Amino acid sequence: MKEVLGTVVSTIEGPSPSRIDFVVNSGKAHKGMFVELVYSEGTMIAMVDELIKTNRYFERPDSVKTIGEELEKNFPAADWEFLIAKAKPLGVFTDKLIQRSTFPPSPGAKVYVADNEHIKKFLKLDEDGMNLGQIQFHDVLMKPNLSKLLQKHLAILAMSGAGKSYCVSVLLEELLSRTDEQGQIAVIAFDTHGEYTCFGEPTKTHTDFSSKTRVIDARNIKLSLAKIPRYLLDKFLSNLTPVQKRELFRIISKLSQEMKSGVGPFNINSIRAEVKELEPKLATALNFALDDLERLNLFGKIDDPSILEIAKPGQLTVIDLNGLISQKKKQLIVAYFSEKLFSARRQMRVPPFALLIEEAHNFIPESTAAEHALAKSTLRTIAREGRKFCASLILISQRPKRLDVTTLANCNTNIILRITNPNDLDHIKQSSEGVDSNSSSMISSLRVGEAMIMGEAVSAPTFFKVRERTSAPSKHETTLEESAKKFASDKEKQDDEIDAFL
Amino acid sequence: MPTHKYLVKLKYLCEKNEIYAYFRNTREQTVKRFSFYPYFILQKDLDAKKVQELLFDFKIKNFSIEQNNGRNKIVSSSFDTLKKISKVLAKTTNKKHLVLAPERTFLLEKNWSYFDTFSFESSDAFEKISRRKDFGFHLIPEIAFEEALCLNEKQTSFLVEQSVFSTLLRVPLAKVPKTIQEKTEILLENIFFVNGGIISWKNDEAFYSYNEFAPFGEYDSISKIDFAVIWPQLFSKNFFNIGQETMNCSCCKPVKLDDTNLLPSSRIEVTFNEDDSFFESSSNTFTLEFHKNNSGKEFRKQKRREFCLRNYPIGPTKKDFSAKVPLDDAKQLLDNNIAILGKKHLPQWFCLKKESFLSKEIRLVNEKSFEEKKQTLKKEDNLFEKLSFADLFSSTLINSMNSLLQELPFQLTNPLSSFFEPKLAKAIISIQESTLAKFTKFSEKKGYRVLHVNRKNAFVKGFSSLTLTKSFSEELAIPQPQIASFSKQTKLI
Repeated sequence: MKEVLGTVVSTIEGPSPSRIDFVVNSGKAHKGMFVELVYSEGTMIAMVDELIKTNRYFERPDSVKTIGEELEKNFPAADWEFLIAKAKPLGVFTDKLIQRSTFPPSPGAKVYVADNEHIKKFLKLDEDGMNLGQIQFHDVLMKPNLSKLLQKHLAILAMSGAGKSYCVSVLLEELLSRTDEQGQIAVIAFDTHGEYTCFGEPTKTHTDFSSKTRVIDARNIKLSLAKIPRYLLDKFLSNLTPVQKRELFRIISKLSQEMKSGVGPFNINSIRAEVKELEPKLATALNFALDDLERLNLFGKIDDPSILEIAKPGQLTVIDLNGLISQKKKQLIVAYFSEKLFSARRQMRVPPFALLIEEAHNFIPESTAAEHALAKSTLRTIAREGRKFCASLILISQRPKRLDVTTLANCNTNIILRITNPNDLDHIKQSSEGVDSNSSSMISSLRVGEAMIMGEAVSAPTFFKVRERTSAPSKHETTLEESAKKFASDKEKQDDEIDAFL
Repeated sequence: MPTHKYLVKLKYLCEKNEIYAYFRNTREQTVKRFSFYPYFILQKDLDAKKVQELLFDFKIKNFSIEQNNGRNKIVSSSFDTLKKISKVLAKTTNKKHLVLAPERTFLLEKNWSYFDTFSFESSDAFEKISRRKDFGFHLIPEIAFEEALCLNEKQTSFLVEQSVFSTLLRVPLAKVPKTIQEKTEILLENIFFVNGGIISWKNDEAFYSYNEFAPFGEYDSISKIDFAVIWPQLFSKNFFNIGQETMNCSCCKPVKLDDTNLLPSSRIEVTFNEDDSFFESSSNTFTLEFHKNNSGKEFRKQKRREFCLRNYPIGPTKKDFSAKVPLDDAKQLLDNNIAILGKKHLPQWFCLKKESFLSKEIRLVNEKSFEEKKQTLKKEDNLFEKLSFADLFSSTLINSMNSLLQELPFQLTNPLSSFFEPKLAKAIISIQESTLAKFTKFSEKKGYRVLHVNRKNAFVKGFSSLTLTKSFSEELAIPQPQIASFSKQTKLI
């Protein structure tokens, strides 16, 4: 027998199909809790989005001041305290399906704490889904379905230190733990700060994902000059004049043609050899541009690694961009691999994949010159068209305000952790229909490790506590005190060694 | 006064065990008779007594084993018996001895050749002398050579060329083969016969021969660089002293990767530092061998297709996995920190002390060619003089010696040749591949573009390749490859 939580009361606003208030009779109601009530249409599921306590003895300030502390002694004030919960109906279970709420319940209807099975069913959680944590106030695991969570892209947004990387690590653990039967996808993470390189390190104290992880140091990456899309090179060499660009592209086309004829792939030196034939002034200018390209130490005859090696089912490939200083180089790597992966996926040459972009606002900024956002157009295309080809984006950002609105809007599922910056909150509100003023206020008051998920993956915005990670912690997960102590102890050790040596 | 005559014909009479040698000049012909018993040299590691017992068991009697210059040779009164003995030894010892026609054996023994010049003091006293050849009367008896040259230059030159090969190969004019491969095979027979080299090998070692495909289409501004000219020199003692008796000798075993006598065909064990990486090998044959014998074929095919590679890449590597790779690849991998050096290597090296007989023969032919060149240069001072038979013979001789020498490495690596031995062939090919890979790398470093290389030629973009070949030769301290041609538009074959 379910425990009655409260009774629907009649107010000026309702009960209506979009709002019900109920007085809490017994037990505890919390903001973000799921409740249910049975009425003529079926079983209504609602979420408590506000709680108000009232007491008529304390309504008038003059009486409260005059009688003061004697009020509770002389009058049954405690008996007149009521907890009013405001809930937003989310849907109605009928015999066959879940419908949106179109008819209000009657005042006096009994309100119950929502049944766990009903919550799972209503939120469309999946037994084989991704265990991200536990729904607050209910004994229900937040296990959204893989396709619903990722197919229409996912954005994980939070301020710095709110637990983004932790949440992403949990997500990666879930992706890597999937079996063949459950369906495995390839995950390629562009890791700006080397947060996920720990997945590639063998461990005995934590769950070891090293066999399923490949960490690639971006400093060792080589991109095939022959395969770089012309528009990307065009943006990259923005300081060349149209004539210089025309000549350069003519040479590259010629070399590509010869490559296909059996001469084999070419490199910067091959272009230089052809540039020698041009008139001296033009050749000098192009040689300067080629010098710039060469200095990046990024171009070779073939891709290393090639996309077929980084996109394997059930494998996490972490492209560690931490060692790179040049923003341009990072941009080019992300742009090139995104483009190639998407193109390969369209031709079904690689398995379905999720492309994880850390600090996404740097790669898909809202407004920056084209040459500074090389990856923007490709990632936008993936955001728009990726669903059809099972190419998913996982965007992670601490500055949603600076993230391209179109791309963010195409991320149909958002996991939002604590954000306090009002500009960022406004931006999220603009790009996500599911966030209203109530949710917005709740986002800013979330604690570290608490998150709200909304969008395609769940039927209603839901708060949950991110589960504990089982993989080894990131090297960045350390406090300021710990770092300071470690630095001091390292220094002491070094001094001791020098003394011992001397 | 002595008269000069040319050795024009030899005839072996088996019933008399005699060789009739015919010497001719424009006026007369002299026939000399020499007692001769056909023979072949017994291989060093075969014990003479045991061979004798073995042959007695096979009821072969009319032979003897004689010692000559520290070597045993089997002599028989019958050439057929000698061939039978060779067959018996091949079956029982798995080592086939080279049995040449008695006439050729005779010439090799005497170090004579067809059309050698002899000075006759009297009918009994005669000796071989070095003199410009002028035996056009023998080839074209009806008219003067110069006249024949005017009437049909092609046919006349062909006759001269045949006589040159007859001289070089010690075969009668009518038996000079058509193709350069067959001619080189005869040259090898002579070299191996004289030096007692083994010609039948246990060919149980896997050998991969790589088909080279030239890029299709025509290319503009191409220099064709001829590498075939440097191979014979590279296989002489100054560079790679390779030969059956000088490979993996016990006296000069190398101890480190930089040792000069370590051959590029050595397999060096390396342990990879990375998973799933690929690299391009400097050796086409190793690439093919690796591709056929290792997993990941589809990855390699895919990678080759994706990047239009000329060859399959080597990989995908596995971390902590060890593999034996060619010397140059190992050095490259170690330099780039892609792998660390293992312990179980398969080194191949050549002797630094004793010169191989192949090297000696190459040196001798080179010296002979140089001498001829000197004489031709002297003669060329008078440009208005008519082209004589001696001039044409001399220039054809130089060209033919070069073409035979250049074909030598290719014949030794041809599995259809009797002198093919996988280990030696691999060593030769590895030297060629290594040199060409170094040339490609060097060219790229110097801003040149190498469009295609095969074992004979390299095709370089632009017409300034002379500087390139010169600097390459200086940098690697090897003979300088020659420019074969410059073409405004050409195919890369």
